[in-house]
Amino acid sequence: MFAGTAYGIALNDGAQLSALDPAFHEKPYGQPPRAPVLYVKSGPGIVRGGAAIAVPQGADGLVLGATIALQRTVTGFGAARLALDLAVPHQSFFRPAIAELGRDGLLAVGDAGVVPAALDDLEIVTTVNGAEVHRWNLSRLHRDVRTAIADVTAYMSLLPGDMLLAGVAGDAPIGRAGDRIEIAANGLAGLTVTLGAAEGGRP
Amino acid sequence: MKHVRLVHAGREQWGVMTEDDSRIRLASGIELPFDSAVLLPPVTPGARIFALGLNYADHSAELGFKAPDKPLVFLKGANSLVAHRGTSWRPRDAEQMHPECELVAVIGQTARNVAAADALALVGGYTVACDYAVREYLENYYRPNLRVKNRDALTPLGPWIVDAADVADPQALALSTRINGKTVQSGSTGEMVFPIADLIAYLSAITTLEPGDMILTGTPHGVAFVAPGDEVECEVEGIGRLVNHVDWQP
Repeated sequence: MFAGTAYGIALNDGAQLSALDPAFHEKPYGQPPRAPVLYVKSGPGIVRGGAAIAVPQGADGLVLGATIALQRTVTGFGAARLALDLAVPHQSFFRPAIAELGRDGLLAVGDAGVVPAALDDLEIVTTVNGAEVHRWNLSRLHRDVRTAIADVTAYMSLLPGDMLLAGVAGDAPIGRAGDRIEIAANGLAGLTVTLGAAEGGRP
Repeated sequence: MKHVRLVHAGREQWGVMTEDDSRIRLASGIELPFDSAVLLPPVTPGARIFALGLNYADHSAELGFKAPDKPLVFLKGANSLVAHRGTSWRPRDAEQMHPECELVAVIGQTARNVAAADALALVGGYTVACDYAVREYLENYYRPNLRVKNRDALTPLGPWIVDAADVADPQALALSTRINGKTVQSGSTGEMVFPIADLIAYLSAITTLEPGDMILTGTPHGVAFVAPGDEVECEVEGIGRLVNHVDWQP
Protein backbone atom coordinates (compact mmCIF):
# COMPACT_ATOMS: atom_id res chain seq x y z
CA MET A 1 0.00 0.00 0.00
CA PHE A 2 1.17 3.52 -0.79
CA ALA A 3 1.40 5.95 2.12
CA GLY A 4 1.03 8.94 -0.17
CA THR A 5 -2.05 10.51 -1.68
CA ALA A 6 -2.76 10.56 -5.42
CA TYR A 7 -4.66 13.50 -6.88
CA GLY A 8 -6.47 13.01 -10.17
CA ILE A 9 -7.55 15.83 -12.45
CA ALA A 10 -11.02 15.35 -13.95
CA LEU A 11 -12.04 17.08 -17.19
CA ASN A 12 -8.44 17.64 -18.28
CA ASP A 13 -8.98 16.31 -21.81
CA GLY A 14 -9.40 19.48 -23.88
CA ALA A 15 -11.83 17.85 -26.34
CA GLN A 16 -13.99 16.50 -23.53
CA LEU A 17 -14.03 19.88 -21.81
CA SER A 18 -15.13 21.62 -25.03
CA ALA A 19 -17.87 19.06 -25.66
CA LEU A 20 -19.27 19.55 -22.15
CA ASP A 21 -18.98 23.34 -22.19
CA PRO A 22 -22.69 23.99 -22.99
CA ALA A 23 -23.75 21.75 -20.08
CA PHE A 24 -21.29 23.49 -17.76
CA HIS A 25 -23.14 26.77 -18.26
CA GLU A 26 -26.32 25.12 -16.92
CA LYS A 27 -27.29 24.01 -13.42
CA PRO A 28 -25.86 22.68 -11.24
CA TYR A 29 -22.52 23.94 -12.58
CA GLY A 30 -23.30 27.54 -13.59
CA GLN A 31 -19.92 28.12 -15.20
CA PRO A 32 -17.04 26.00 -16.49
CA PRO A 33 -14.42 24.97 -13.93
CA ARG A 34 -11.69 27.48 -13.11
CA ALA A 35 -9.32 25.60 -10.78
CA PRO A 36 -8.25 22.05 -11.68
CA VAL A 37 -11.10 19.64 -10.78
CA LEU A 38 -9.42 17.25 -8.39
CA TYR A 39 -10.27 13.95 -6.79
CA VAL A 40 -8.33 11.83 -4.32
CA LYS A 41 -7.18 8.22 -4.40
CA SER A 42 -5.26 6.84 -1.42
CA GLY A 43 -4.80 3.89 0.92
CA PRO A 44 -6.23 0.65 -0.52
CA GLY A 45 -7.37 2.71 -3.51
CA ILE A 46 -3.82 2.46 -4.91
CA VAL A 47 -2.31 -0.82 -6.08
CA ARG A 48 0.72 -1.87 -8.11
CA GLY A 49 0.94 -3.52 -11.48
CA GLY A 50 -0.03 -7.21 -11.42
CA ALA A 51 -3.02 -6.58 -9.18
CA ALA A 52 -6.42 -8.13 -9.68
CA ILE A 53 -8.93 -5.30 -9.42
CA ALA A 54 -12.58 -5.87 -8.56
CA VAL A 55 -15.34 -4.52 -10.76
CA PRO A 56 -17.96 -3.59 -8.16
CA GLN A 57 -21.32 -5.35 -8.12
CA GLY A 58 -23.87 -3.44 -10.13
CA ALA A 59 -21.27 -1.79 -12.38
CA ASP A 60 -21.10 -2.84 -16.02
CA GLY A 61 -17.40 -2.21 -16.12
CA LEU A 62 -14.73 0.33 -15.29
CA VAL A 63 -13.41 3.30 -17.27
CA LEU A 64 -9.82 2.48 -18.23
CA GLY A 65 -8.13 5.84 -17.69
CA ALA A 66 -4.60 5.30 -18.99
CA THR A 67 -2.43 8.18 -17.86
CA ILE A 68 0.82 9.21 -16.26
CA ALA A 69 1.46 9.90 -12.58
CA LEU A 70 4.14 12.38 -11.58
CA GLN A 71 5.41 11.61 -8.12
CA ARG A 72 6.63 14.23 -5.72
CA THR A 73 9.99 13.21 -4.34
CA VAL A 74 12.07 15.14 -1.84
CA THR A 75 13.81 16.92 -4.69
CA GLY A 76 10.78 17.73 -6.84
CA PHE A 77 8.51 16.04 -9.37
CA GLY A 78 11.31 13.92 -10.76
CA ALA A 79 9.64 10.50 -10.94
CA ALA A 80 6.98 9.27 -13.34
CA ARG A 81 4.85 6.13 -13.50
CA LEU A 82 2.34 4.80 -15.93
CA ALA A 83 -1.03 4.71 -14.23
CA LEU A 84 -4.41 3.13 -14.80
CA ASP A 85 -6.86 5.56 -13.23
CA LEU A 86 -10.10 3.56 -13.05
CA ALA A 87 -13.61 4.83 -12.43
CA VAL A 88 -17.12 3.48 -12.20
CA PRO A 89 -18.72 5.31 -15.14
CA HIS A 90 -20.52 8.45 -13.98
CA GLN A 91 -21.94 11.49 -15.76
CA SER A 92 -22.32 14.01 -12.92
CA PHE A 93 -19.35 16.05 -11.75
CA PHE A 94 -21.32 17.99 -9.13
CA ARG A 95 -20.59 16.05 -5.93
CA PRO A 96 -17.45 14.18 -4.84
CA ALA A 97 -17.74 10.74 -6.44
CA ILE A 98 -16.45 8.53 -3.63
CA ALA A 99 -18.51 5.51 -4.76
CA GLU A 100 -17.25 5.87 -8.33
CA LEU A 101 -13.61 6.79 -7.66
CA GLY A 102 -12.84 5.80 -4.07
CA ARG A 103 -13.08 2.01 -4.28
CA ASP A 104 -10.21 -0.32 -3.53
CA GLY A 105 -7.81 -0.77 -6.41
CA LEU A 106 -9.16 1.99 -8.64
CA LEU A 107 -5.65 3.31 -9.22
CA ALA A 108 -2.91 1.00 -10.43
CA VAL A 109 0.59 2.38 -10.91
CA GLY A 110 3.70 0.99 -12.56
CA ASP A 111 7.28 1.35 -11.39
CA ALA A 112 8.67 4.88 -11.12
CA GLY A 113 11.27 6.05 -13.62
CA VAL A 114 12.61 9.30 -14.94
CA VAL A 115 10.10 11.71 -16.43
CA PRO A 116 9.98 11.25 -20.23
CA ALA A 117 11.62 14.14 -22.08
CA ALA A 118 8.69 14.44 -24.50
CA LEU A 119 6.13 14.48 -21.69
CA ASP A 120 3.72 16.77 -23.54
CA ASP A 121 3.74 14.54 -26.59
CA LEU A 122 3.59 11.18 -24.84
CA GLU A 123 1.49 8.55 -26.57
CA ILE A 124 -0.21 6.13 -24.15
CA VAL A 125 -1.60 2.86 -25.49
CA THR A 126 -4.20 0.63 -23.83
CA THR A 127 -4.40 -3.03 -24.77
CA VAL A 128 -7.21 -5.33 -23.59
CA ASN A 129 -6.76 -9.08 -23.90
CA GLY A 130 -3.96 -8.55 -26.41
CA ALA A 131 -5.79 -6.12 -28.71
CA GLU A 132 -5.15 -2.38 -28.81
CA VAL A 133 -8.37 -0.58 -27.82
CA HIS A 134 -7.24 2.97 -27.17
CA ARG A 135 -4.40 5.35 -27.87
CA TRP A 136 -4.11 8.97 -26.88
CA ASN A 137 -1.52 11.67 -26.71
CA LEU A 138 -0.91 13.94 -23.72
CA SER A 139 -0.90 16.89 -26.12
CA ARG A 140 -4.70 16.65 -25.71
CA LEU A 141 -4.47 17.81 -22.08
CA HIS A 142 -6.24 21.06 -21.24
CA ARG A 143 -3.55 21.77 -18.64
CA ASP A 144 -0.26 20.14 -19.53
CA VAL A 145 1.45 18.32 -16.69
CA ARG A 146 3.77 21.15 -15.64
CA THR A 147 0.93 23.69 -15.74
CA ALA A 148 -1.26 21.36 -13.70
CA ILE A 149 1.46 20.97 -11.08
CA ALA A 150 1.83 24.75 -10.84
CA ASP A 151 -1.93 25.37 -10.64
CA VAL A 152 -2.51 22.69 -8.01
CA THR A 153 0.47 23.48 -5.81
CA ALA A 154 -0.58 27.14 -5.83
CA TYR A 155 -3.15 26.18 -3.19
CA MET A 156 -2.04 22.86 -1.73
CA SER A 157 1.29 21.15 -1.25
CA LEU A 158 2.01 17.75 -2.64
CA LEU A 159 4.18 15.97 -0.10
CA PRO A 160 6.99 13.53 -0.94
CA GLY A 161 5.21 10.28 -1.86
CA ASP A 162 2.14 12.08 -3.25
CA MET A 163 1.29 11.77 -6.93
CA LEU A 164 -0.47 13.94 -9.46
CA LEU A 165 -2.33 12.08 -12.22
CA ALA A 166 -2.31 13.99 -15.49
CA GLY A 167 -5.91 13.26 -16.48
CA VAL A 168 -7.77 10.66 -18.49
CA ALA A 169 -9.12 10.71 -22.04
CA GLY A 170 -12.79 11.61 -22.40
CA ASP A 171 -13.14 8.65 -24.77
CA ALA A 172 -11.35 6.15 -22.52
CA PRO A 173 -12.66 2.61 -23.08
CA ILE A 174 -14.55 0.40 -20.62
CA GLY A 175 -12.99 -2.75 -19.20
CA ARG A 176 -14.99 -5.68 -17.86
CA ALA A 177 -14.46 -8.50 -15.38
CA GLY A 178 -12.06 -11.04 -16.86
CA ASP A 179 -10.13 -8.49 -18.93
CA ARG A 180 -6.36 -8.28 -18.87
CA ILE A 181 -5.32 -4.65 -19.28
CA GLU A 182 -1.89 -3.50 -20.42
CA ILE A 183 -0.77 0.12 -20.54
CA ALA A 184 2.35 1.18 -22.44
CA ALA A 185 4.22 4.35 -23.34
CA ASN A 186 7.74 4.98 -24.59
CA GLY A 187 10.29 5.37 -21.85
CA LEU A 188 8.14 4.10 -18.99
CA ALA A 189 7.85 0.68 -17.37
CA GLY A 190 4.71 -1.09 -18.58
CA LEU A 191 1.70 -1.74 -16.39
CA THR A 192 -0.56 -4.80 -16.45
CA VAL A 193 -3.60 -5.57 -14.30
CA THR A 194 -6.59 -7.88 -14.51
CA LEU A 195 -10.19 -7.05 -13.73
CA GLY A 196 -12.24 -9.51 -11.72
CA ALA A 197 -15.72 -9.83 -10.29
CA ALA A 198 -16.24 -8.39 -6.82
CA GLU A 199 -16.37 -10.98 -4.08
CA GLY A 200 -19.11 -10.74 -1.50
CA GLY A 201 -20.06 -7.25 -0.57
CA ARG A 202 -23.43 -5.65 -0.58
CA PRO A 203 -24.57 -4.00 -3.82
CA MET B 1 -6.87 7.37 27.88
CA LYS B 2 -5.88 10.30 25.67
CA HIS B 3 -3.18 9.73 23.07
CA VAL B 4 -1.02 12.56 21.72
CA ARG B 5 1.50 12.65 18.90
CA LEU B 6 4.47 14.94 19.30
CA VAL B 7 8.06 15.64 18.41
CA HIS B 8 10.48 15.13 21.28
CA ALA B 9 14.23 14.56 21.32
CA GLY B 10 14.45 14.67 17.56
CA ARG B 11 11.79 12.14 16.68
CA GLU B 12 8.10 11.61 16.35
CA GLN B 13 6.58 9.92 19.40
CA TRP B 14 3.20 9.06 20.84
CA GLY B 15 2.39 9.65 24.48
CA VAL B 16 -0.59 9.57 26.81
CA MET B 17 -1.99 12.39 28.91
CA THR B 18 -1.74 12.22 32.68
CA GLU B 19 -4.99 12.14 34.64
CA ASP B 20 -5.15 15.95 35.07
CA ASP B 21 -4.27 16.66 31.39
CA SER B 22 -1.20 18.67 32.45
CA ARG B 23 1.56 16.32 31.30
CA ILE B 24 2.38 13.85 28.54
CA ARG B 25 3.81 10.48 29.51
CA LEU B 26 6.02 8.95 26.82
CA ALA B 27 6.63 5.22 26.30
CA SER B 28 10.03 5.64 27.99
CA GLY B 29 8.29 6.86 31.16
CA ILE B 30 9.53 10.42 30.68
CA GLU B 31 6.91 13.07 31.39
CA LEU B 32 6.72 16.46 29.67
CA PRO B 33 4.49 19.48 30.30
CA PHE B 34 1.64 19.49 27.77
CA ASP B 35 1.71 23.28 27.42
CA SER B 36 5.20 23.41 25.93
CA ALA B 37 5.13 20.17 23.92
CA VAL B 38 5.64 20.28 20.15
CA LEU B 39 2.41 18.59 19.14
CA LEU B 40 1.61 16.94 15.82
CA PRO B 41 -1.85 16.11 14.49
CA PRO B 42 -2.76 12.77 16.14
CA VAL B 43 -2.96 10.87 12.88
CA THR B 44 -1.47 7.54 11.86
CA PRO B 45 0.88 8.31 8.95
CA GLY B 46 -0.67 7.05 5.72
CA ALA B 47 -4.17 6.83 7.17
CA ARG B 48 -7.01 8.09 5.01
CA ILE B 49 -8.98 11.14 6.02
CA PHE B 50 -12.65 11.05 5.02
CA ALA B 51 -14.80 14.10 5.60
CA LEU B 52 -18.53 14.72 5.44
CA GLY B 53 -20.43 17.57 3.88
CA LEU B 54 -24.00 18.50 4.79
CA ASN B 55 -24.26 15.95 7.61
CA TYR B 56 -26.29 18.23 9.87
CA ALA B 57 -29.70 19.26 8.52
CA ASP B 58 -29.53 22.76 10.02
CA HIS B 59 -26.18 23.44 8.29
CA SER B 60 -27.55 22.18 4.95
CA ALA B 61 -30.54 24.52 5.28
CA GLU B 62 -28.22 27.41 6.12
CA LEU B 63 -26.27 26.78 2.89
CA GLY B 64 -29.44 26.41 0.82
CA PHE B 65 -29.21 22.65 0.26
CA LYS B 66 -31.54 19.81 1.15
CA ALA B 67 -29.95 17.19 3.36
CA PRO B 68 -28.47 14.57 1.01
CA ASP B 69 -30.06 11.12 0.57
CA LYS B 70 -26.67 9.43 0.91
CA PRO B 71 -23.56 10.61 2.74
CA LEU B 72 -21.61 13.33 0.91
CA VAL B 73 -18.04 12.16 1.47
CA PHE B 74 -14.77 13.66 0.29
CA LEU B 75 -11.13 12.82 1.01
CA LYS B 76 -8.26 14.93 2.28
CA GLY B 77 -4.50 14.69 2.12
CA ALA B 78 -2.04 14.90 5.01
CA ASN B 79 -1.01 18.39 3.85
CA SER B 80 -4.32 19.72 5.15
CA LEU B 81 -3.68 18.82 8.79
CA VAL B 82 -2.23 21.01 11.53
CA ALA B 83 -1.88 20.29 15.24
CA HIS B 84 -3.54 21.83 18.29
CA ARG B 85 -2.19 25.38 18.88
CA GLY B 86 -1.14 25.54 15.23
CA THR B 87 -1.70 28.26 12.67
CA SER B 88 -4.11 28.24 9.75
CA TRP B 89 -3.67 30.71 6.92
CA ARG B 90 -6.35 32.95 5.49
CA PRO B 91 -5.65 33.62 1.82
CA ARG B 92 -5.10 37.29 1.02
CA ASP B 93 -7.77 37.34 -1.67
CA ALA B 94 -10.51 35.73 0.42
CA GLU B 95 -12.68 37.01 3.26
CA GLN B 96 -15.14 34.16 3.71
CA MET B 97 -13.09 31.62 5.66
CA HIS B 98 -15.07 29.88 8.39
CA PRO B 99 -14.37 27.18 10.96
CA GLU B 100 -16.37 23.95 11.13
CA CYS B 101 -16.20 22.02 14.41
CA GLU B 102 -16.45 18.27 13.86
CA LEU B 103 -16.31 15.05 15.84
CA VAL B 104 -13.76 12.69 14.28
CA ALA B 105 -14.12 8.90 14.49
CA VAL B 106 -10.81 7.01 14.30
CA ILE B 107 -11.13 3.49 12.94
CA GLY B 108 -9.69 0.79 15.21
CA GLN B 109 -10.13 -2.39 13.18
CA THR B 110 -10.44 -3.30 9.52
CA ALA B 111 -13.95 -2.59 8.31
CA ARG B 112 -15.29 -4.09 5.07
CA ASN B 113 -18.99 -4.50 4.31
CA VAL B 114 -19.95 -3.86 7.91
CA ALA B 115 -23.58 -3.59 8.98
CA ALA B 116 -24.45 -0.37 10.80
CA ALA B 117 -25.46 -2.39 13.87
CA ASP B 118 -21.89 -3.71 14.17
CA ALA B 119 -20.02 -0.59 13.07
CA LEU B 120 -19.46 1.41 16.25
CA ALA B 121 -17.52 -1.49 17.75
CA LEU B 122 -14.87 -0.89 15.05
CA VAL B 123 -14.15 2.68 16.20
CA GLY B 124 -10.93 2.89 18.19
CA GLY B 125 -11.16 6.48 19.34
CA TYR B 126 -12.37 10.00 18.79
CA THR B 127 -10.81 13.39 18.25
CA VAL B 128 -11.81 16.89 17.15
CA ALA B 129 -11.30 18.65 13.82
CA CYS B 130 -11.84 22.19 12.61
CA ASP B 131 -12.57 21.72 8.92
CA TYR B 132 -12.12 25.28 7.62
CA ALA B 133 -13.73 26.26 4.34
CA VAL B 134 -12.93 29.25 2.12
CA ARG B 135 -16.19 30.02 0.39
CA GLU B 136 -14.79 32.24 -2.39
CA TYR B 137 -13.12 29.17 -3.88
CA LEU B 138 -16.24 27.03 -4.06
CA GLU B 139 -16.96 25.64 -7.51
CA ASN B 140 -19.73 23.23 -8.50
CA TYR B 141 -17.36 20.44 -9.49
CA TYR B 142 -16.91 17.62 -6.98
CA ARG B 143 -18.14 20.26 -4.51
CA PRO B 144 -16.80 20.91 -1.91
CA ASN B 145 -13.74 21.08 -4.15
CA LEU B 146 -10.18 20.65 -2.98
CA ARG B 147 -9.27 24.30 -3.39
CA VAL B 148 -11.79 24.88 -0.57
CA LYS B 149 -11.17 21.79 1.54
CA ASN B 150 -7.62 20.56 1.01
CA ARG B 151 -5.55 23.69 1.53
CA ASP B 152 -2.38 23.35 3.59
CA ALA B 153 -2.98 23.57 7.35
CA LEU B 154 -6.68 24.40 7.09
CA THR B 155 -7.75 21.27 8.96
CA PRO B 156 -6.65 21.58 12.59
CA LEU B 157 -6.89 18.18 14.32
CA GLY B 158 -6.51 17.16 17.96
CA PRO B 159 -5.36 17.82 20.56
CA TRP B 160 -5.52 14.05 21.18
CA ILE B 161 -7.38 10.83 20.46
CA VAL B 162 -9.67 9.63 23.26
CA ASP B 163 -10.19 5.86 23.50
CA ALA B 164 -13.64 4.86 22.26
CA ALA B 165 -14.10 2.94 25.51
CA ASP B 166 -14.04 6.27 27.35
CA VAL B 167 -16.88 7.76 25.26
CA ALA B 168 -20.25 6.51 26.48
CA ASP B 169 -22.39 7.78 23.57
CA PRO B 170 -20.65 9.52 20.63
CA GLN B 171 -24.06 10.58 19.29
CA ALA B 172 -24.92 12.69 22.34
CA LEU B 173 -22.01 15.14 22.60
CA ALA B 174 -22.26 18.91 22.59
CA LEU B 175 -19.99 20.59 20.06
CA SER B 176 -19.18 24.27 19.74
CA THR B 177 -16.88 26.79 18.13
CA ARG B 178 -15.71 30.04 19.67
CA ILE B 179 -13.88 32.85 17.88
CA ASN B 180 -12.00 35.02 20.40
CA GLY B 181 -14.27 33.60 23.10
CA LYS B 182 -17.54 34.33 21.30
CA THR B 183 -19.65 31.27 20.48
CA VAL B 184 -20.42 30.97 16.76
CA GLN B 185 -21.39 27.30 16.48
CA SER B 186 -23.33 25.22 18.95
CA GLY B 187 -24.90 21.84 18.33
CA SER B 188 -25.03 18.19 19.28
CA THR B 189 -23.65 15.12 17.55
CA GLY B 190 -27.17 13.72 18.05
CA GLU B 191 -28.24 15.89 15.11
CA MET B 192 -26.16 14.11 12.45
CA VAL B 193 -28.14 13.15 9.34
CA PHE B 194 -26.04 9.98 9.04
CA PRO B 195 -24.70 8.83 12.44
CA ILE B 196 -21.19 7.41 12.71
CA ALA B 197 -22.40 3.80 12.47
CA ASP B 198 -24.20 4.57 9.19
CA LEU B 199 -21.12 6.36 7.82
CA ILE B 200 -18.90 3.37 8.56
CA ALA B 201 -21.44 0.99 7.00
CA TYR B 202 -21.68 3.21 3.89
CA LEU B 203 -17.93 3.65 3.46
CA SER B 204 -17.06 0.05 4.25
CA ALA B 205 -19.29 -1.09 1.37
CA ILE B 206 -17.20 1.10 -0.95
CA THR B 207 -13.68 0.63 0.38
CA THR B 208 -11.75 -1.14 3.10
CA LEU B 209 -11.35 1.01 6.19
CA GLU B 210 -8.14 0.37 8.09
CA PRO B 211 -7.00 1.20 11.64
CA GLY B 212 -6.05 4.85 11.86
CA ASP B 213 -8.40 5.99 9.10
CA MET B 214 -10.40 9.01 10.18
CA ILE B 215 -13.94 10.14 9.47
CA LEU B 216 -14.66 13.85 10.01
CA THR B 217 -18.37 13.61 10.61
CA GLY B 218 -19.62 17.05 9.53
CA THR B 219 -20.58 20.27 11.24
CA PRO B 220 -23.75 21.93 12.55
CA HIS B 221 -25.00 25.35 11.49
CA GLY B 222 -23.19 28.59 12.24
CA VAL B 223 -21.11 30.20 9.49
CA ALA B 224 -18.86 32.93 10.96
CA PHE B 225 -15.81 34.29 9.20
CA VAL B 226 -12.35 34.50 10.76
CA ALA B 227 -9.67 37.16 10.43
CA PRO B 228 -5.91 37.10 10.98
CA GLY B 229 -5.19 37.36 14.70
CA ASP B 230 -8.26 35.38 15.72
CA GLU B 231 -8.08 32.51 18.17
CA VAL B 232 -10.51 29.74 17.26
CA GLU B 233 -11.56 26.98 19.67
CA CYS B 234 -13.48 23.91 18.56
CA GLU B 235 -14.73 21.80 21.43
CA VAL B 236 -16.51 18.46 21.56
CA GLU B 237 -17.83 17.48 24.95
CA GLY B 238 -15.79 14.74 26.58
CA ILE B 239 -13.29 14.63 23.68
CA GLY B 240 -11.28 17.83 23.75
CA ARG B 241 -10.85 21.50 23.00
CA LEU B 242 -8.87 22.21 19.84
CA VAL B 243 -7.24 25.65 19.63
CA ASN B 244 -6.09 27.26 16.40
CA HIS B 245 -4.69 30.64 15.40
CA VAL B 246 -5.48 32.43 12.16
CA ASP B 247 -2.86 34.40 10.29
CA TRP B 248 -2.39 35.79 6.79
CA GLN B 249 -1.17 33.34 4.24
CA PRO B 250 2.51 34.23 3.64
